[in-house]
Amino acid sequence: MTSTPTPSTEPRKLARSTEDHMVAGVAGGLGRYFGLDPVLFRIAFGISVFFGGVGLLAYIALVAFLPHDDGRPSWIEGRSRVTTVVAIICLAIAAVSILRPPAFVLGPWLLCLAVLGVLAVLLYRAFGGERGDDAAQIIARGTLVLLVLVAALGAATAVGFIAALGGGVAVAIIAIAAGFGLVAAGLLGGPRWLILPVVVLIMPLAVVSAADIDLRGGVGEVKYRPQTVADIHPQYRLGVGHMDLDLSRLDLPAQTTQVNVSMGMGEARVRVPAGTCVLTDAKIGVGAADVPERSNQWIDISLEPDEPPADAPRRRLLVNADIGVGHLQIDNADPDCT
Amino acid sequence: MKRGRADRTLIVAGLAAVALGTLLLLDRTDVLNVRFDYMVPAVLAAIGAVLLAAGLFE
Repeated sequence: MTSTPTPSTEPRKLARSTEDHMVAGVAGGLGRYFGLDPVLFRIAFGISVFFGGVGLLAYIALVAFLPHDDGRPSWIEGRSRVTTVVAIICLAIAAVSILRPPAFVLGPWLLCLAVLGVLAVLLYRAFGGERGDDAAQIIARGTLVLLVLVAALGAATAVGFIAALGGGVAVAIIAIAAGFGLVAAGLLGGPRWLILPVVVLIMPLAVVSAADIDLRGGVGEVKYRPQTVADIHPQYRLGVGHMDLDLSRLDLPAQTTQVNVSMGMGEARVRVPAGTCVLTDAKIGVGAADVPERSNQWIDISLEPDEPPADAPRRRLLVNADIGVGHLQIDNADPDCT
Repeated sequence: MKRGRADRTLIVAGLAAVALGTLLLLDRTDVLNVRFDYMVPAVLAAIGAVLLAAGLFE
């Protein structure tokens, strides 16, 4: 249903919409409050449902706490204090359960999907789409938006691979030149869609640079099982995939032995001799590290080797790992030697 | 290209692209070590500048 908005001097109030609603009017109310298209919020809620259900939880909370825009009170209003407390505790428990650490790993992907959704709507509008379009117009413009997004994603992926394979300097120089080109186009009154190719150049390079992704080193699943300390390579390197570095059969000398692991994207698993005192010096752009007593995940993970206890054995293994996007796991280490 | 009225939004987007490109070039040449701590705010600031320009000049 569409209606012509009338100017009002009343302060804006966040409320569930009774006119623009598909489920409970939350997205319609948010859209009116923030002056944005409710479709954006519906997309965000819809996408977030598939990533731990945080969007569904937020939706339920808003349904419970927001009043209606026609003056009817919220669900929680007028309930007994006990009911209110129980509802809040239930929501808090659900939130803590959903937002437990593993859910945060999906954060960047959730953000990417949300950005894609916003881009899709903006492109739809840029192609002349409006609310109230008939089905044929929606399908035609939607197909065009989909094609443009797929092309942009494909191009961005290609640029990301080029940057991660050592072409980052060239991509950065091209991005700077494209920036100057945009300035020139702006002075000449050029079209705004020129921004999109520049975004396609810069965003993947930004991700590759921030995560320090280096895909040189091959693709696949590799296993290394050195039998002696002398067999240890100066560096174990893999571009994309899974690396299993099994050091469990090594007889380490009574000194610090170092192994260097470098990986662009994927999982590196290091198995050490049982009870080994492991020192970890790791950098992970995006991902997780499961090392003794020091699990960590999210972005910009940096683990510095701690000084082991004075009574720790001198037989130590220093794991030096540099991972762009992925997971580092160290098995069998002595948990008391950190 | 057809010469029209200067588009300040496009100009700001271009300047933001030049700034981000320079930052990334410095990272790729090992002058700086850009991580997400710095890159995310920089990208958001660039997007914000473009949105501000789009809002202020129209």
